[in-house]
Amino acid sequence: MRYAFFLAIVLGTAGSSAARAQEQAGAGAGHESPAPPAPPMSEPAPSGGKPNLEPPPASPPALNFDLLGDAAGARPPDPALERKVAQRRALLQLHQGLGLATLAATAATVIVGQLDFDDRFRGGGDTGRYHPWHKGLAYGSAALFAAAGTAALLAPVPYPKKLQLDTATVHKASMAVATAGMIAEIALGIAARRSAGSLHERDLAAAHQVVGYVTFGALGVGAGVFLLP
Amino acid sequence: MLPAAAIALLAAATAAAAPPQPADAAPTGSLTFAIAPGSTLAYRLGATFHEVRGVTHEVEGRARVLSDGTVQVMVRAPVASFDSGNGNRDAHMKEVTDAARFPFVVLKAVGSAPSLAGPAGTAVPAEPVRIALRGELIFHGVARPVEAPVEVRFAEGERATARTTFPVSLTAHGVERPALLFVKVDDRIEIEAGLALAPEVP
Repeated sequence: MRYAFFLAIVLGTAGSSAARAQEQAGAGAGHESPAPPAPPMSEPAPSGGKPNLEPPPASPPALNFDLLGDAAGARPPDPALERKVAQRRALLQLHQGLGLATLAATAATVIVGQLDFDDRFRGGGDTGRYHPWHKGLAYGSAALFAAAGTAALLAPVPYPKKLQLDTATVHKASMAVATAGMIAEIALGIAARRSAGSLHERDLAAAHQVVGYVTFGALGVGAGVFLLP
Repeated sequence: MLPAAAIALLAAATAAAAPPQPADAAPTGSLTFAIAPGSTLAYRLGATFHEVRGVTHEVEGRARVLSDGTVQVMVRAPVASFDSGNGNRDAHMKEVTDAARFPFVVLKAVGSAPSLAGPAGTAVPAEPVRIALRGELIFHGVARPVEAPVEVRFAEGERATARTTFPVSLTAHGVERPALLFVKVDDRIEIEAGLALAPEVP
């Protein structure tokens, strides 16, 4: 009896599928199109009626079980923590912007500084035309650097961090080198200018130049390290 | 008096260390597996010029096979436990996912595996069993539908391993995507689960 019922369902479905395939092929099409697959049927089609060949709507899965108790464990918001997170995000966004501006300003300072060096010591005619630009860019990049560092130092730490060698550690080490470089650059630049005309001027200017490149390199490493995994 | 106190202390310590008990009683004829040590849950996230992979080993959960072959699964892991090898990045992830407020990411899903139906002791399939799980992922306090194709391989003693990978949208879960050098990370993350399953004795 059960097999007869199953057979009736299968034959009914196949027959209806074939009929629909013929309808879809259209009159005079000249070729057969494959019948669409029969959908799963949970109950027999009413006799004499056309079975519903549309796929059944995806019902939401039955999730009325609980294998873990309070699985999500949501807690009430902590306003103090959320305030710290918001402050940190704002300050670190500012830090990123100021940091990239510092990198760009330092690049310009190094380029103009090299032109200034060549003008004064490498047969450029000692016109001094690059010096005001170099000086202005140098103080500007130092101010940007100080502001970027201050924003980072003022950012609260709402979630404690694990101490390990990672991109942030390399960034901080690079910025420590850059900080020392910025201070040394300013000191050497002023000293070189004060000893203008003396035998030491070129040595001091050369040292200032090297420190400038190292500082720029440290800034580049500090920014670029975040592109690493 | 002293032994009684010691026993009470031991019982309290055991209760504290045990995984949370299921709120539902296991139906007759069902088989329950617990997530065993060695299980991992990971995310893969595309960021500027690199990919981030964070892994946690603090996975807990259960899978229950009912007598009709229905598979019920609940898995969770603390959001704060994902380790990407970069403490700064992990702290940032805790910030954007509100890890203090929404401490767990939870997968709750059902599927069908008639070949697994049967009481404990039933012969387990030699071939991998593929189950299409459908359910929801609760992340950042937001539940969203999820579909996860799972492959289960059985070993001796009804122990099994289950593997799945499925995508998740950060914005769909209300997570503000972090930006690196003003470029936001990808919205789509891939969740990878490698779960060791051990049968639970009722």
